[in-house]
Amino acid sequence: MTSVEYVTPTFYTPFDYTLKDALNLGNVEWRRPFIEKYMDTGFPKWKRLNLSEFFVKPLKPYKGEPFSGSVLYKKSVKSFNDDTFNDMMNRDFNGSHLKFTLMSKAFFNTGFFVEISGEGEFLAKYDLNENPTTVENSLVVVKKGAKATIVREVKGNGKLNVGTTLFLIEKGAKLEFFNILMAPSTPLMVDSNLYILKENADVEVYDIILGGEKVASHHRFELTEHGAKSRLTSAYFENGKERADLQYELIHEAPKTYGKIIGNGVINDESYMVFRGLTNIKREAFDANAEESGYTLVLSPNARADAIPSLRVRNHSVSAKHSASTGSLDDDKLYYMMSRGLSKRMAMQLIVEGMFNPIIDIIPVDDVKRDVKDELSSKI
Amino acid sequence: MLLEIRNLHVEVEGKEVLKGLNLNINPGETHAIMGPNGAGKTTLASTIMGNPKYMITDGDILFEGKSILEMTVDERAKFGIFQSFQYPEEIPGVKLRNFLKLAYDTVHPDKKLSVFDFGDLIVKQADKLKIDRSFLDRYINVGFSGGERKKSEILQLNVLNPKLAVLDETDSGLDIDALKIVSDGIKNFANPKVSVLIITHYQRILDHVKPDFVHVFMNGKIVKTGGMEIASELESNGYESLTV
Amino acid sequence: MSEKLSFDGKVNYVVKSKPGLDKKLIEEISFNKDEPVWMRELRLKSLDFFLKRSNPVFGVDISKLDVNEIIPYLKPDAEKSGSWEEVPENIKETFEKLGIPDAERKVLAGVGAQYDSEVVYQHIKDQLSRLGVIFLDMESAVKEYPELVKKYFMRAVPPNDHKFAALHGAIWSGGSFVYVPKDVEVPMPLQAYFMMASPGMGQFEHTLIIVDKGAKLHFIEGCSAPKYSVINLHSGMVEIYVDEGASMKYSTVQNWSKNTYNLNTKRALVEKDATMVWVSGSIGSAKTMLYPTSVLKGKGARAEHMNITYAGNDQHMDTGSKIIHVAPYTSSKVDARSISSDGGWAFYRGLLKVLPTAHHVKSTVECSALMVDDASASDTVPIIEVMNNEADIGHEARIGKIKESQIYYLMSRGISEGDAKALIVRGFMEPIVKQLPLEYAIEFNRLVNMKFTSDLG
Repeated sequence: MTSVEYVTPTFYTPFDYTLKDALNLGNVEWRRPFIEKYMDTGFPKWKRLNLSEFFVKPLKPYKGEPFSGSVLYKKSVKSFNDDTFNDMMNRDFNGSHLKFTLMSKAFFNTGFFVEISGEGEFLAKYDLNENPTTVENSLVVVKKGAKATIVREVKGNGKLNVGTTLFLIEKGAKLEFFNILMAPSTPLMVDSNLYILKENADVEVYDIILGGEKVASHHRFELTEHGAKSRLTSAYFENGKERADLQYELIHEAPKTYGKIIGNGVINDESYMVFRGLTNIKREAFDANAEESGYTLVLSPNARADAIPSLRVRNHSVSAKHSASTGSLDDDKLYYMMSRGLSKRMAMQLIVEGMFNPIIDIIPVDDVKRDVKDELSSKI
Repeated sequence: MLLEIRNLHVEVEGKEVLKGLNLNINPGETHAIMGPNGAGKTTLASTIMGNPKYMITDGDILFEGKSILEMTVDERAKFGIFQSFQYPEEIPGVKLRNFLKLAYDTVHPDKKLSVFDFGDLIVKQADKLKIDRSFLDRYINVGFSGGERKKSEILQLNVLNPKLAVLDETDSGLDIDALKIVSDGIKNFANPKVSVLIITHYQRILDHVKPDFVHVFMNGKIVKTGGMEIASELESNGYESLTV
Repeated sequence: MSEKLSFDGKVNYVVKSKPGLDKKLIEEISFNKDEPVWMRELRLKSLDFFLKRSNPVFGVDISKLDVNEIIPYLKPDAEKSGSWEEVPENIKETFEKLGIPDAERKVLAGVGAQYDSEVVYQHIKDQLSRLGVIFLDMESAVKEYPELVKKYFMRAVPPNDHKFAALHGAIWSGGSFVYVPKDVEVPMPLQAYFMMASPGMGQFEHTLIIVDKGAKLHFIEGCSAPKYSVINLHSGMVEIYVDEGASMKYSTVQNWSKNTYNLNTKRALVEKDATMVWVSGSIGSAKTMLYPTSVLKGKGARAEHMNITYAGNDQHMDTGSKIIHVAPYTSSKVDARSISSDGGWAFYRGLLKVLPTAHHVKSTVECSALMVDDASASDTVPIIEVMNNEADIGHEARIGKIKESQIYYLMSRGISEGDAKALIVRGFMEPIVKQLPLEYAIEFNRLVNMKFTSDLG
């Protein structure tokens, strides 16, 4: 069966990154195969994010030490020869757009490669104030039966943040991933995440988005083996003229796989939010269970929320659901709280915080938790 | 003999649930099978009806002297077997009235009832069971309460008028009034030509229906058979008293 | 009208067809129809757009559709029908099973004219003219009511809307025109069927309906029996104007034969406090693209879209609905259901747009899909764009199968497996099918029964 597929148009920018930029960053031999492809690929003309021109910013080696945690991370050039690493890097994954995943692979100035056996925590805290252009290329391997907690925080006011993180979650392994973007005045943030889940692997992702001016985010879960299970909960708050295009993709390739996406957020002022949920259930995925739901609270008459769900089902023994809704502040709720003496503003604030608290409460790193709270209250 | 179950062994999802069950039912008799939760009561009812989920590994079920193991569910219904479900399914978009007419015409091809005569028949039964007539024009079990579903099952029993009624936990979830109505519905159905098999956990429905035989069913087998006195004994001493 | 009905399709002359649609052919069509200048210009402008525009970037694969193949049939005197012998066996069989009378079979198969309808039509016509309702075929309307037609024709869907709208604008022929005057309630549904004057008509038909203030109309297009035509493209257009406080219901049952590309455009502009209801049933065609659209222009306007789509073997049905909330206090409701079976592919594509001007909007979109077997495919893409915060929008989509336990329950009452499946599928479609006139609903159900080799009545 064939269908007509929409192809995103592209454009080129006159001063794009070249081999020269890679030379400054080192490890050129490893980057080389991606550089050529990068230069052949145009930037996406994103309609909803209103991206039609783009000027790259100078790339410098990352300043400072963003990593900490109980697990060792490998960052030496030698580890790039690791088979798993190469396999994952060459996997067919375009993320938000091929141009940006290639940018990560060819021109990364930071990133991590961690392999976790047993139990481990890992924290990556990127500071865009010190590193206005941050291009990350990261890989996480959670070994058979292991249990991993990963926190990634991108903070500060920068120019560009492009991140690509690939996860391999082996048989029976567990991953908890907190992905936190809060760099409100950064003009463009592009985030691509791929999760490969093996038999009975279990993944829980919390995606918190509090700016960039333009944010494109993509999480793709490939449930490749029997019993793999993934859940993603996202929370976003946008104000000013921020735009975000969030895309969550569930790919069920094996029987009894389970995928759930819950997206909740708030948009204010003239911000614009796009929530895309893609569920793709292949023929082999008997008794798969997929559910996506999105709720957007719209606070301003000039804000805009789009929902673009898509369910593709090729096996009839499955359960696949999608729901999306938008709403304004519930007058009854406001009235109830105001009748207890709260001002309207405070009541609104409480309702908004109420949407975030369940996620903030479980962030395992205290200073990250504080960062998110501070950023959220400054936004409100 | 109407129903004869010989040494029945049944597996569900690879687990043996019935382990050599024997049971004989003659026309006109009312039997009750009592057993604790998880004893395999629903398995027994569904196996008699022929639910393909239940796999017979040994034994036989004879109905009017003929083995029915090779028959599909609808063939058994046409043959005169009826199962009342513990949790009757919802079928959206299909009206109870139309469905019953269709089932009636299939089960009784010889009786040609016009739409109007059939309407009279089901309205009469609905009134007897104190089922609001409007239920007849609602979709099958959609939005019915637990009690309404059970009444609807008994309504179907009386309309389809089978030879053997297998009633699976028909009393569960009913208040006292509804239990009385449902029991009356069962008594209304019973006559010397037909038989009833009541499967239940509790004695209370038996106080109304008064079965001729009571069987105690545990661990996939009938462990004791007698009259109403067994039911009272179970009620006061519990199933535990019977474990050997 | 009567002239056309006596026309029996004999070819007077044959023009050798040149490849490609061109200006000359369009001018010839217009000349033969004796059209006013503005209509000829509209056709030519449309042709221009058609040649310039590229194919849609979504939906069904139309790469095998050669629009030039239809050219010979566009000739004014072309033989649009074949003979009964050429009609495919499976279509004849279906007619047999559905018990369709001989005379009608020929019309449905595109090899006979609907002579009998004249009698029926005449009676309705008298009744309508007493009410001041205008109901006639589109070509006559262009001549008899030029001002009215000119004011509305291809205003809701302009020729440059998309490539196939442009094609339609260039080559349209036939269709119905309805005008219902202020506060008139048309007592019976009007059927497009009456306007099928000659074989082969209804391929590029244009339907234009104007319901004036406070008036009420139910219009029915199509028929559920399979419709066969030697021309493998159906590209019709429906434009509806529902004025203040008026109420309009448009029901369609589409069952083109499996050689047809059904690329249709339907749009309604709905004014203050008016109501638009679309009921669409799609069963036939090889590939369908159809998204009835309601533009809620006036405060308090309402739209309701009910779709049922059946995708069987070798079918790709891309159907859906589009609702644009322009004015405040407007509301809309979508209930879309699809069934895919025997390797069929059902695709729901929807757009719900709430413009910044449209505050206090209420809308619910519900999509449910039933997959009957594993060879089939089901997709759902309902896009929602909300540009106003005082909007209450809800959307739900689910794809599932017939539950084994439902089949078992029905079988335990004596119903065969095929009948049980047919019953469940019919029950799934029921809320929408019941919106159709009885005879259509009955035929729809019969078609489902045939798919499950069920003998239900």
